[in-house]
Amino acid sequence: MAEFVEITFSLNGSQVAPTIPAATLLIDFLRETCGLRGTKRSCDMEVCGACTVLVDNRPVSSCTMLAADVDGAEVTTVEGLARDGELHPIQRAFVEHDALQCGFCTPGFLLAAKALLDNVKHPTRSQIVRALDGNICRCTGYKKIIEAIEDVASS
Amino acid sequence: MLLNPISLIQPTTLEEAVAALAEYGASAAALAGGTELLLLMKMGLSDFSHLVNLKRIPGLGATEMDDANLRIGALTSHARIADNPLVQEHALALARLCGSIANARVRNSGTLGGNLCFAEPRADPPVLLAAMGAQVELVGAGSRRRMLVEEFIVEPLTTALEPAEIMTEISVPLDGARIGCERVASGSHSLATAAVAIGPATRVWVGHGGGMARLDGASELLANMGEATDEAAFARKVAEDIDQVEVASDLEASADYRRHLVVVAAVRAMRQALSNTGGPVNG
Repeated sequence: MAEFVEITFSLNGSQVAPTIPAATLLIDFLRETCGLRGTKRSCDMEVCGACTVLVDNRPVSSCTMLAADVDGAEVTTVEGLARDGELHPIQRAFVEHDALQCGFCTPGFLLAAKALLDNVKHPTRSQIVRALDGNICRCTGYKKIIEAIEDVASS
Repeated sequence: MLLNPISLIQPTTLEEAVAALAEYGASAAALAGGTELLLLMKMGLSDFSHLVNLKRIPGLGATEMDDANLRIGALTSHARIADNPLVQEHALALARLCGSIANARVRNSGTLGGNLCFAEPRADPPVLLAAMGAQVELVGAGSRRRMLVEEFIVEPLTTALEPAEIMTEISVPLDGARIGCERVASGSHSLATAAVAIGPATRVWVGHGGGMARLDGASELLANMGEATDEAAFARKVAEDIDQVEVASDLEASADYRRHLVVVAAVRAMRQALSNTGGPVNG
């Protein structure tokens, strides 16, 4: 029984072992405690996907998950995509295809795309659309987002 | 939105979990995926101060088959049910339905047991599971009981789960019934859902947005029709049945429109059951 919990997990490849209030939501742990503000709070009710992070390579809504529930897991945020200053291929494709405008939804889309491409090497357009169907973008109209991912999917 | 402070209890056995729920009573809730419970708490609509995390209890997340039933652990996520080969082979309509719930993130976190225990009136799994004649197993302090899903869901947001009870599994009978399930959706949630089972028992269940109902007239008609199905007659009977059910009007849809959609969904579900494809579960 605890108001604080000790958790240990891998965050973007590094082990962390914080003691946190049990009521801490994953999004707030990432943004406020870790300073990883790429993950965005938008609808705050699991609908829009702006808060998407990967837990054991599966997309989840960090806005409505206890940080305590990632104990023992591997968590990936958008900050974990680039390596040594090199953009991840999905990020590069988004830039090249102009797949972002305000960028607020982008971290969620990048991670949803990563989860897809890690599972399905060469997804069809239909599979891409289906995998992204829980992420909302108010700026782009989705076309260039899909093209960016199709580009990565075909390589 | 933030959560008020909570104590998190993390039992590793069912007995510990049941004891914790009993100890903390009305101030405690069981936590599975949290997709509905945590949202409710964030919105300030309930104020549990203790959460009993069920996810560290082994054995609640497996799917197995015995001679008579497909047995799905209550803590199995919708996503894992959707991609489970056993479910795809023996209860395809359920795999497809679970694969169409909300969005991928909710499907990764949310569990079938959690869905049933929350009993949101627009939830689809109870409608299909009722049509399939599925049962749930509930474990309390020194007790283990089973009941039909249709009895478990009492009314919107109310189930037969006792305060210190935990759902452990959902079992779907392997009785060779032909199943069809269709929903008419607005975005990611359903305006109307229909599930038809044609087999040893023939059942027509519908969800109308404000709850679920068994359509007795339509069930009986379908059972008596056999292979000589008359879609128009079935549709008329569904319309008659749903007319007797209290259906709510709201901003999304009037009661009349929902009743119309129930008929549409029921006819589509019946066609699927007859062609035994397990259904596309139209969104």
